[in-house]
Amino acid sequence: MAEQMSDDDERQQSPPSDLDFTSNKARTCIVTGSVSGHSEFQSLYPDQVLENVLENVLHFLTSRRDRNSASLVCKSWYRVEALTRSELFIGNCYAVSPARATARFTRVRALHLKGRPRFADFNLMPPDWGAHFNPWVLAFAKACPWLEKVYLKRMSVTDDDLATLAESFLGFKELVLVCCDGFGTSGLAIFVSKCRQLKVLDLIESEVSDDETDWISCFPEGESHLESLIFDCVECPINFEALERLVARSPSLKKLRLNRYVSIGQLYRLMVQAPQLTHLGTGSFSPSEVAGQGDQEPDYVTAFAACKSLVCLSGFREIIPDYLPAIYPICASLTSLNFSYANITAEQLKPIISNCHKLQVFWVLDSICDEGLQAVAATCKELRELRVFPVDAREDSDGPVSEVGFQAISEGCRKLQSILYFCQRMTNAAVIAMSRNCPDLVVFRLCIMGRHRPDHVTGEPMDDGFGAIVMNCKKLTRLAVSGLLTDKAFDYIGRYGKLVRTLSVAFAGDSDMALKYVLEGCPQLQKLEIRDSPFGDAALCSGLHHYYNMRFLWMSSCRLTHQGCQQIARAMPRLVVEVIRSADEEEVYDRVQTLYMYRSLEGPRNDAPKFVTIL
Amino acid sequence: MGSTSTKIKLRTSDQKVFEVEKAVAVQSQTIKYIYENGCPDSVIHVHSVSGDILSKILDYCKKHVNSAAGKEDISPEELYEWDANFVKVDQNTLFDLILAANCLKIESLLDLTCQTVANMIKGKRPEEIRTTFNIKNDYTIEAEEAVRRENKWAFDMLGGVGTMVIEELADDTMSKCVTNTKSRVCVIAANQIVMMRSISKLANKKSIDVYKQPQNPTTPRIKESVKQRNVGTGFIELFFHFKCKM
Repeated sequence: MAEQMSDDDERQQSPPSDLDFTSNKARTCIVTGSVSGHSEFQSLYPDQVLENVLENVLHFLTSRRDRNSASLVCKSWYRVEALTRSELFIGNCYAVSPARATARFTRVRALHLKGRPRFADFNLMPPDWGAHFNPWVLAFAKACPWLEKVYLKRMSVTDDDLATLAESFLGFKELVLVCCDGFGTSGLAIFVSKCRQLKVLDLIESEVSDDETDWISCFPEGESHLESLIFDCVECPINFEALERLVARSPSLKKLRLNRYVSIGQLYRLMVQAPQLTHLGTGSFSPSEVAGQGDQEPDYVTAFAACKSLVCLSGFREIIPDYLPAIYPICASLTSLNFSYANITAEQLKPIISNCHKLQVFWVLDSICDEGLQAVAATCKELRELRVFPVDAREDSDGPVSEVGFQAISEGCRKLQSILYFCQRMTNAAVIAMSRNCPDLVVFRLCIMGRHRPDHVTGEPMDDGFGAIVMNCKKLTRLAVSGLLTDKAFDYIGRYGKLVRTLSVAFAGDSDMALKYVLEGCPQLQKLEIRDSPFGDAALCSGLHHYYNMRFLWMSSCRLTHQGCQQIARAMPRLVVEVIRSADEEEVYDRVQTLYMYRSLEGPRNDAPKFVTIL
Repeated sequence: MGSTSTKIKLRTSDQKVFEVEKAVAVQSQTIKYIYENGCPDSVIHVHSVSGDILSKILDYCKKHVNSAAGKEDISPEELYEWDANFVKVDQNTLFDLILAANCLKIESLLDLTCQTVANMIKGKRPEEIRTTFNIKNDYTIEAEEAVRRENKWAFDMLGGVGTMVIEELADDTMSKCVTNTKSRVCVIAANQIVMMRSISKLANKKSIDVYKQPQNPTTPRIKESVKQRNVGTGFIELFFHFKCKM
């Protein structure tokens, strides 16, 4: 049994070097007066012993699932779990208030927040819908001064918010903004000048307004702690000399992604300063206009060869393909290559890709055609993720990639886990082939541009192809469908897509049955986004049993009416049901343009703009 | 290990005396501090640690000191395995070790023992954790559901092996859910009456259960029925029909 504590008579006999410290509970424990914090305990029952050291123990629990279980054991475990949680993930910023989050978790070091739904990226929602970072930064500034890292996706961040961030958290280290907006270069300037411990500043696909402030010069002088600086989305010129000095005094810099205002000559100078880089975004990858004709070109090949740790390459924002051979030396070690801004042909791709044996992630434009994809399939046997984007995203354009390249990939890249493929035509046979060849698929997003396009060889709907995907890919959690699809496709999804968490649907289905199949059949469904499909109120009602288990449902340009949405709102009081109209539309018609609904602990939000009605 | 090496004497709570090499004893920051700031010859009383526990702890410290000093030919992997075997003890001894490591301030041992306990928690559902450590559940049903809801809705902490909650149903409602056969199901009707009845027999899986309502004479009678339908690949569809009579 647990050790007995000493009695008082023991203490009387003890020589001076005894470890002795009396608690007011007449028990003795050894304490050196430092920060152990567990100096007292009153009884020796196992569960109370455990409680004393619970903080130490729970530090070793990292998965959200385990933390969830721990918080449900009993009330004291709930308290200690909340104290020891260092990373807080909030998938919908409106599902919980900043006050509630900071009341429960007071020692958070890292905050992940997601705001707008993804379909907002496609201009399906007017701007200023919400997802403001401001109330969050203010609440955390008061309650969690140890916050070091903030990761935001699809949120609105103002210059003031950036200033608050830098001023309120002394040890702030990492800021990652993905698909965010609302701030500009002046906000960045304040932020970087005040964050003296900054290690990571990643601006990814965010909109940064040009306030004509030279923010790069605002990094403090002296050695910087920077490990990652990503600003390839910033659409304004930067002070290159200041950047060069910054890179020179950042010995820990591993990730650097430049914007298109950095020329290839400038890139060279930076690479020479930082051969230790692991991730590089090349900027424009073309010379600046001022480069004279007779100027000596720097030795780009040697510069790339010197970067022996480079594994991830992107950029090429305004590529002149003649310069591509410069990257030959590092192809063999690349695990990630992003050519999604490089309009290059198959011929230009082949010499590069034929050396990329270790490639796991590849993003590319369809300018490489089926032939280019065949070259990828021939070499990149380790490929896990492929994204093929369209150069020309219109409905009726010629499609340079088709089922031919798609099938080639499925045959060559058997370890594929994630695919996003834009094309103008596809066949069921190719999709079925991929379902068989690539059983590890977790993410399958096929975008046949052009509405209601059938299998272009057989003229059949694409039902069987997507059916095969859900049937054969047993690990599938994310699915995006396209092409001509009848209710049958959704029947397959409902029947076999038991692990599907995210589903994107556009211009598909014949009737309410399609949506019913999915809502009744997919128990893991968390995020459902639908546009321009013939689903009405009856279909919406079929999901009543499941909506509290989902993060959100988005339906735009479907057949919903106000009454139908009211019914849902009444039946499910904890669901926030937002009806969104386009900014200039009057609230006359009964037809609902956009429905966005999500579960929330807080009830309707108080920052909704005029074009949003919360039922 | 010659006669010239310094030894420190330690007396435990049960009056056992251990004579230990200084290098081993000062693995404990506490003992180190006392030794350096007190009389080097006197006995250090380790009040809250028993002889058995101290003996084990000294084995640990000795092993680690010797391996670090190169006195013992042991690879990092072998030491790791030795540590793993060291903590294969009964729960009471493990907690005693944690307390002692905490008091004696032996950081690596504290980490090792706490990690071991954490491993006993990982992957378990709350009731399993309670059973393992003999902890009383002091949550009310409503409070527990509130935490569950907050965890899932706000902080994306997914429930243990699929927790399905059907809430806020009006009287006389037909509702259904599809759940995998390992799920737990909790049903709360609109007038705050908690559904009761174990459906484990129907579901044929012992891990599906429904909470029992505490006895309350004013409680309206509830008639309910639960049916199930197998929809394949380990999933069942449950139909709930509620009828509340006031």
